Amino acid sequence: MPAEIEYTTLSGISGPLIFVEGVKGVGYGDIVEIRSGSSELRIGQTIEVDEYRAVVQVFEGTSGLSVKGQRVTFTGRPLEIPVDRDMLGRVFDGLGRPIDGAPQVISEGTMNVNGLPINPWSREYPRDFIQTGISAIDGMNTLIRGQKLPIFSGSGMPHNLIAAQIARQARILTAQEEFTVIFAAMGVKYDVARFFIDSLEESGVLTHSAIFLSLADAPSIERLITPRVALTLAEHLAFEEGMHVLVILTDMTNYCEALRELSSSRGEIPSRKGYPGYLYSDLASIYERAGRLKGHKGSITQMPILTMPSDDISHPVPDLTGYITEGQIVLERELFNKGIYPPIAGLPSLSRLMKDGIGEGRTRRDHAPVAAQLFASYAKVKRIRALASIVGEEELSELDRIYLDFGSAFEEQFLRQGHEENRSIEQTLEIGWRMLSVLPKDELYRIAREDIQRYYIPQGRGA
Amino acid sequence: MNDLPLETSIREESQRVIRALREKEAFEIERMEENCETEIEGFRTKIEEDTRSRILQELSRLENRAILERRKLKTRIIEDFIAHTVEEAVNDLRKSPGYKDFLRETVLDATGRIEGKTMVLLKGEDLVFEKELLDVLKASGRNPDIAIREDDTIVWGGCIVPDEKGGRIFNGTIERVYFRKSRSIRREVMRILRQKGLVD
Repeated sequence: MPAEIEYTTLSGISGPLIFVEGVKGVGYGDIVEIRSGSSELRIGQTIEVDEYRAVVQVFEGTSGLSVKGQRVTFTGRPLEIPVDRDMLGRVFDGLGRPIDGAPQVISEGTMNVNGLPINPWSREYPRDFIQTGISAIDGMNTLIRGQKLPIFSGSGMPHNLIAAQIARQARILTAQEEFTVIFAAMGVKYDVARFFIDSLEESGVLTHSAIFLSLADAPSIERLITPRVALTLAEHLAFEEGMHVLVILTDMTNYCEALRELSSSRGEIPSRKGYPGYLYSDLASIYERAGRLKGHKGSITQMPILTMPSDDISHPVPDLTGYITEGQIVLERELFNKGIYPPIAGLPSLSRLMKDGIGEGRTRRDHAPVAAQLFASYAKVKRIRALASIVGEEELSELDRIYLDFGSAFEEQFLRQGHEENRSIEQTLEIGWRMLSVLPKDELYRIAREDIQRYYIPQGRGA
Repeated sequence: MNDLPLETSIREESQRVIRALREKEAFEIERMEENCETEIEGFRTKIEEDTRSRILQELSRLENRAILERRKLKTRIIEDFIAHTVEEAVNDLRKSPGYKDFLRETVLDATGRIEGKTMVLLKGEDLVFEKELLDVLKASGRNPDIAIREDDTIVWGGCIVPDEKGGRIFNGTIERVYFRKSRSIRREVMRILRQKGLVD
């Protein structure tokens, strides 16, 4: 057996990067082991190779490393993690190493964390409904199996609460199929990490979930690996074990910040707001790992959560995310300030695949028209509110005032719900009908007459 | 003028009003008592429901924690078993004829890739193979300038061949081989345990 080659020719350290001279036969993306005199092992990845020199990014950071006394081994393999069903119920760090006090699982195989975005030819169109128990999502921005639907949040908004609530409550209505949640958190604080673990454990969801945590004080490089590690396990569970996997990634803005940091350490030419020019394709390499494959039972659904700096939806991170994903759920500062939880904005939120996963046989026949009517009526409320702020409420017509009542009822009863409140799709639609019954029948122009006859609550019995 | 009918009328009217008030009072008291009872009953039901749901939640939490702890315990036991098996294998390493062949091949491979003066580092216990290794190296005719020394950083066995000029170290220690192969070793142990029906 040939001996393993360790290089002692470390020539420099710069931020998370080390430079190794005189190397031969090293591949881009290879995993590197760095051992110092004290035998401490760090893992890195080759990010640049020329004839004699390799640049390695160290996942654990380079604090305490010196140029002398390091032994660097190029393994000749990409980063792989063990993947197994036994990983469910466990908590891992951002690189897929267990942090719950038990050893690493013994797996049948390992998988390259870089995966591959699913080939368009192999894809199957996402269908079928995932119930999150949150009316604003299930009723109006329905999540579909195999979809990638991000949540656009802002600083201080309750996206973590929403993420945990979705992780706890999400389920598919066809109970015979296995459903699991993989939760990956990048750059989160200890209290947030504890909150996620406790929240999933207390609700009993942890036994069929896996948590990957890259904490705020972990080297930023680790954040670049975390979503890939989580998606690698998801791919195994979905396409090898036939499970339906919901992957929640929070916070993708932290991921992009880490990418910007690394790009700047490498001296790359910055693009918009200092992010690298390849931010779009890098994000796509994560988001496009969601979907369904022909001939496979399972599916991967993604819910990336990102915070928009200064609530700016045109910021590169939400902007480029929106290009790749199939809609977005936007959290609105105005609703948040009104104390409404979850503050999911009615109008800018959209699920592009909703129409293919709802209706008769999946949710309920009136789902699509009710959602469309709620959207249309709430849009009118927004216009009337703007008008009222100029001319005063007393100048409004009787119908406009009814719309204002509808708007308040919609926000207070349909959008607002408890952190622990898990509404079925039937309950959501019932509440939707109660709200619509505030309006005269003639105003429900997007709903079929027979549905109105069946579900409309006569005047006085509505909200 | 006779005041009697008026007085009677006032008295009767007062009595009627008092009676009506008493009836209303009784009715109100009854209604309040009923409300109170309903409220108490509602409160009791709510508390019972909350308690029941809390108990169920706690039971589910305990049940789930038990499942997770059982899973973790199983992994720990297997890991201990593997560590124990590896330790036994390492202790008996030198009894295996394959070990000497491994050492010879590794030394030959590494020294063949180094030019000039070099050194082969072995664990103290392996110095018994010194003469044999030097003979093999001489016979190979590759690099005549080789010395063999003891290195106490080698824990289990194997050899280290530094190439100072090339800034490399050829590490052929058993601990590195184990580190490299540990995943497949663990997998193989698991496969055997499953085959024997010792784990599910």
